[in-house]
Parts: sequence; C-alpha cells; structure tokens
Amino acid sequence: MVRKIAIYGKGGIGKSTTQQNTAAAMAYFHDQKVMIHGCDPKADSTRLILRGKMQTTMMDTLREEGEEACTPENVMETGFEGIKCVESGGPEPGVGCAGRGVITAITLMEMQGVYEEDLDFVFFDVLGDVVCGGFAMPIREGKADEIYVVASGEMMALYAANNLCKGMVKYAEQSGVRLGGIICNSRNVDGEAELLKEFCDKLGTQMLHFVPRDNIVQKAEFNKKSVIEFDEKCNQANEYNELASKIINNENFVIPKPMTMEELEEMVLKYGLTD
Amino acid sequence: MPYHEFKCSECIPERKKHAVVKGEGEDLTSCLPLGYLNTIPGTISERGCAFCGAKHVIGTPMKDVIHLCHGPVGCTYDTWQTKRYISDNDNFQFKYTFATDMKEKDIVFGAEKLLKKNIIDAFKTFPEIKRMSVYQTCASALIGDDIDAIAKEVMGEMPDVDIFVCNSPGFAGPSQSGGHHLINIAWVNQKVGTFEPKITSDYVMNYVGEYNIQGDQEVMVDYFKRMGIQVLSTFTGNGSYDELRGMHKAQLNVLECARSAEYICNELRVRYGTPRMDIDGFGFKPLSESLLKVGLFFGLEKEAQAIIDEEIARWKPEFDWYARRLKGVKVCLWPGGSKLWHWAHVIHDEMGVDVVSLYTKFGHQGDMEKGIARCADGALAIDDPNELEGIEAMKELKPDIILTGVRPGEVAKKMRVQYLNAHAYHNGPYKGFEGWVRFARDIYNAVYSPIHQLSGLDISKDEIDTDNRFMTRQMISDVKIDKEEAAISDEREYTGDYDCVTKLRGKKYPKLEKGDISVG
Repeated sequence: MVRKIAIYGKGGIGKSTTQQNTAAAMAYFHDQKVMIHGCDPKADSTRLILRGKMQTTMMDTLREEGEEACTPENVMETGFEGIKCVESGGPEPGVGCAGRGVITAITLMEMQGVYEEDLDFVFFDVLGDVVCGGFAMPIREGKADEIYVVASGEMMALYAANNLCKGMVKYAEQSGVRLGGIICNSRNVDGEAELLKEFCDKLGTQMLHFVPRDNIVQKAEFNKKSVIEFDEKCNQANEYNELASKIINNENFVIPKPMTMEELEEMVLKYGLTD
Repeated sequence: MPYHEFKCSECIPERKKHAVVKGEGEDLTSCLPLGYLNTIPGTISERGCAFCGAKHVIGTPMKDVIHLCHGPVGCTYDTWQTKRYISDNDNFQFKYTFATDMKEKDIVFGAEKLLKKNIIDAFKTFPEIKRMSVYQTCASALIGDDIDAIAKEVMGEMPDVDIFVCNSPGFAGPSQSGGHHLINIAWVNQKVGTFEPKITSDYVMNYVGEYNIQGDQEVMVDYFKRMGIQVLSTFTGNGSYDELRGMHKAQLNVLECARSAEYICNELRVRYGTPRMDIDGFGFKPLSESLLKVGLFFGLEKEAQAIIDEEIARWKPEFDWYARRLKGVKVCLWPGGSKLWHWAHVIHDEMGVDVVSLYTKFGHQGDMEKGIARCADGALAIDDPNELEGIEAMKELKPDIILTGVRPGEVAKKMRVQYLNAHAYHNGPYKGFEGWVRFARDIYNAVYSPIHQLSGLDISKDEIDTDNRFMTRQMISDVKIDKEEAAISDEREYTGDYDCVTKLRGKKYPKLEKGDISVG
C-alpha cells in the first residue's frame, strides 16, 4: 500500500531540498516508486528531480485550459529514477486564494486516482506556515498519514515546528495522521543535536535523522540535481540514503505533545542558542 | 409570562422565548418575544443572508443602474426578479441582471481582472446606462478582491460612468437585516453629496424605504406631487442613481419602511440636519394621517386634505364591498419585517379580519414591539420562525389566509391554506387608496375562490357530483352578510383598471413647473 507523507517546517529551513534528496535516495538506493506533489504556490518542490525544469502547474493548466485538461498526462512529469512530479502552483502573492488552490489540486489528483497507482510513497511538500485550511489539506482524512517536520537548532525553527505540532493534534483526532519524527537539517551550531534531541523527547517523538551541513547540497542544486544524482558516492548521498531507509522502516508514529511557549524558551536558553 | 412553546420545538428550549401569545389586557411589558438574535442551532430559519438584504431588497430597485453581482451565478439568480420592483424606464434593472459568475480558478487566482472585464463589458453592452452597483458576495469577500479599487480604476478610465460598491457578504449579520444596514451606510458614505440636483419647488422631500413593489412608489409619489412637493429621490424603488446622490438637498426624509431604511434617515439627520418623518402608506386611515402629517410639515394641509377627500370618495365604496365580506376572516400575518406593524391593526380595523398570528423573520425587537402593541388580543407572535412551527401554527389556528413570502407560501398551499404574497403582492400595488382596495380584493379572491375546494379533489378517482360542480362566490362569501343592508348601500366591486400605474407616468403637475429655483 502506498504511504503518503507530508513534509512541513519553517520557511527556508530546507524542506524542499531535504524532501527531494530523500525521495531521490528512496528511488535510487531502495528501488521505491515515488511521487512528489508540491503544494507551495511558488512551485519549487520538484526542480531537482526534473533537472531544473519548471513544470507546468496544475493551477496554470486549470486557469488556461480548464478542469478537463488537468489530467496526469498534462500535469505530471517524470524525473530522476522515474519519480513522478506534480506541482499545484497558485496565484501571485496577495491575490486570490492559494489555500483553495491546494485543495483544488489535491482533489483533482485524487479524483483521477493518481496517488493510488503503482506507487510506494507520495510526498506532499507544503508551504512553511499552515496559514489556512487549504494548507492543512494534505493531512485531512484519507490523504497523508505520516508527517515529518524539518527543523534546525534555531529558536524560530523550533517555534514553527512546535506550532505545527499544535495544529497536528487537531487533525490527528480527525484523520488519524501521525508524526513520524523530526528531521534535523543542521545549521552547524553548537549543541544542535542535543537541543533537537531534547525537543523531540518533549514532543514525544524521535529525531529521525541528523542531516549534517555539507556544501555539496548547494553545489548539486547549482547543477540542478539532487545530491544522489550529482554524486552518489559522496557522504551526503549516504546521509540521505540513511534517512530514506529510516523513513521506509519507521514504526514510531505518535500524536505529539506540543510545548508551551515558556517551556520552549526555557529549553532553548539552556543550550545558549539565540537566533 | 405568556410564552408559547411549539411542540415541534420542545427539543430546543431556547425557542420558547421567541413566541408569545398576547393575552387579554396584556401589554408589551409582559409579552415581548426575544428578537433579532442569531438563529438558534437546531432550528432552520426562514431568514435570508446579508448579501440578499443589501442587493435584492435595497440595491436593485434602483432603476437606471447595471446591478452586477461579483460572485457565483446562483447568488445572482436567487436575488433577481421575485420582488417585482418595477420602474418607469421600461424596467431596465428588473429585466437585466449581471454576474461575474466566479469559478474555481477565479477563487484561486483572484477575480479582479474578471470583474474589471465584466464591468467594462456591461457598460459597452448597454451604452445608455452610465451607472452601476457592484455587490460583493461571500466568495469574493473571502478571497479579498478589492472591488473598490477596481471601481475607481474603471471610473478613471471611463469618466462618464459612476460605480457604487456594496461590500455586504452573506455572512455579515444574523439575517438580511445586516445587509440593509450596510448598504444604507455605504450609500450615504460613498454617494450622497456628490451630485447637485435641480430644485423645482419650495417643498422638497426624499421618499425613503419604499421599493415600488408593483408600483407602490409611483402611486404615493403622485399624491406628494399633487400636493406640490418635489420628491427629490426615492430610496430606492423606481429611484434614480443620480437623484439619490442628491439626497442631501431635501428638507424632509419621509420614511416608509423603517426596518430597512431608517439607518440612512438617521445618518442624513446627523450629517445634514434633515428631519425624519415615519409614515404608513397602507390603509385609508393611516395613509390619510400620513399625508396630513407631511402636509403639516410643509404647510400644505389643505392640499393634503383635498387629495384625501377625493380619493376616499372615489374608492371607499369599493373597499366597503370587500370589507363587508371579509369580516371575521382569520389571517396569519407573516411578513419579513415592517409589514408586521404596517398591517397589524389596520387590516383588522378597516377590513374586519382577525389577525390570529403575526411573525417576523428578520425584524428587530422594535418591530415586534410595534406589531404586538397594534395587534388584537389573543394573537400568537413569533420571532424568527421556522417551517415546522409555521405548520404547527396553521394546524392549530386554522387561518383562512396567510400573508407571507413565496417559500412559506408554498408550504401553506400544500396544506390547502390560501396565501397572498406579502413581499411582492399578487395584484398590487397595495399602497395608496386604490391599492388598498386591490389588496382587499386579493384577499377576497384568495379566501373565497372555489379553487381551494376543487384542489382537494382527486379528479382521476373521486366521484364528482354533476349537480354541484363548484361553489360560486355568492354561495361562499355572501351567506354571512346582511343582504338588505348591502343592497341599500353604495358599495360596489372594484372598478379600477388592471394596470393602475402606467397612466401616472408622464402626468403633468402644474405646481411643480417652477423651473430650477435653486439657481440665483
């Protein structure tokens, strides 16, 4: 059965990069059949898989050609290692309703049975902040059943992650969605791993993997590739390989226990980290 | 406290305080239901939404205007036509309705461009119309389309047009009443004072809260003009957009429907010092008193009295014919808001019918106060009723006729209880002296029509007695009356024309031909 995963986290934390590299590792090292559905109006969740190609988004297709044209043949691209890619797209900032765009895109794909077809994993890559109901669409009933939050050892990243957990508690009751763990996308600051570890303990979840900072990620991005495609032998490729295998074998799914603001600040102070 | 609890609402205890029976000798202090609150969960209200209240009730009767609804097409259709607000410009605003017809993609990407295109297209399609009202809906409100900005943009590009924007989404209040308020204030904020009207009389008024249902406004304005009063504008039935921009120039605001339009009168009083005078256009006595009141304000009592005498001489005998036959008819007076108190006492006093129940869908506490103060003892008064309560009341009270809107009216018809449309009328106008006869005639025709007996038969199966095919009105309505007394009276059936409104258009009023006296 296909496992549907939603990746959340503060804007700029590296969600899309982590998600694409993990997806690439899943397909390349573990022979998994993977699909990525980008749910950010910026539509930048699939570029590394598609080698830099900006794919036509579902919402653009809907606007220009109508609902009938939003078929998998028209809006889905296949990239590295057969990974299927779809981007919801959406309006320019400040107009219309991007949240409704996410709802529309996911509903259209669902109606066409895309998520069920011959797949092992579907990733929903979501906007940094769950600003309205539309951006919670991927974790409603029958959609993603696992959430991974990307975080780092800075206050605002933890704050955002904690907030996501607060939102999740509501949806966990309704839809059965569970937190699979926190992925630390390291900023290379002191005591980061320990801080994240304690944060995860408090939430009642696990730090699934500590992804070290490595410039090869940026280098691969400049070359419009995932790290795995860019250099499968490098250490970072191995890290993503490990992360992929941890997700594949993950059995630790919880409803998180979010912290209060005071608890969170106290914990961060203890590690002397300010940002 | 004489609260009335409906059996069908026993499971919703909060409903109990929304219905009362006015007992003998009781006054308002002991029998006033709660009113104008949010609909109680568990009941389904007969209320409309704030968008409908703004657009359908108040906005669209304005006649020389393209009324454009920025939203899905259903919002437009469901607020179009049914209220029969005619106009003397070939019913432009009544025949045509406009919508941007927002779709999924417009929601996602915003529909400002679509709106702009629609505005320009509409003006191009009807080049003789230079005025427009744009109405926001729930959909366009939620995505935050800036309608005001688009309207300004278009006005910049097309200097000869003027656009009014009404931001009253469906959710902006407990009922349509919230929309009445919003559009009143929006009009006075955006448009009043932006146009200088011609003044052609020493006596100048606005006629406010009058929607020209089947010609009501034209009938009333005829009286005012015959008195020598210039009616600068009507808010909004048969009203012209530019005339309404000049409302600030009137000496008096004569207010008919205080529920839907008192807000603008109050604002005009605050901002321009214009006094507000509430009147009743229904019924011989209230209408006579109202015309005298207006006459008194301007020093035109004699003129008012002359009209009253003339009209009463012409129409009273015809009214009396119906009143004699309507005595004791049981009525449920179930309108939306202000007709609750406009009609509560006068149909009893003048037609002799008994008001056994009255209700209001969106009236405020003040409307209920006026209605209960005016109605007879024993009446069941209901605030924000629902269909089940209506059915229960009809079974219990066995009324002969319901005066209500289309949807509760359909329920009444199914129960074979006669119904007259209190919002849009059947053969109106009902205002004015002649209109009052037409109203009595409609009630008579409804109550005594043989169709209601025939409608109970299944002609495919029941044996129909060939000697007694159907009852004539004499057999039904004339059995109770004193025939001798009726024979010596001068009473007669209605003799007016089928269309009593069109002939008023283009009529000359010598007293108003002074030219523009505001100049010099």
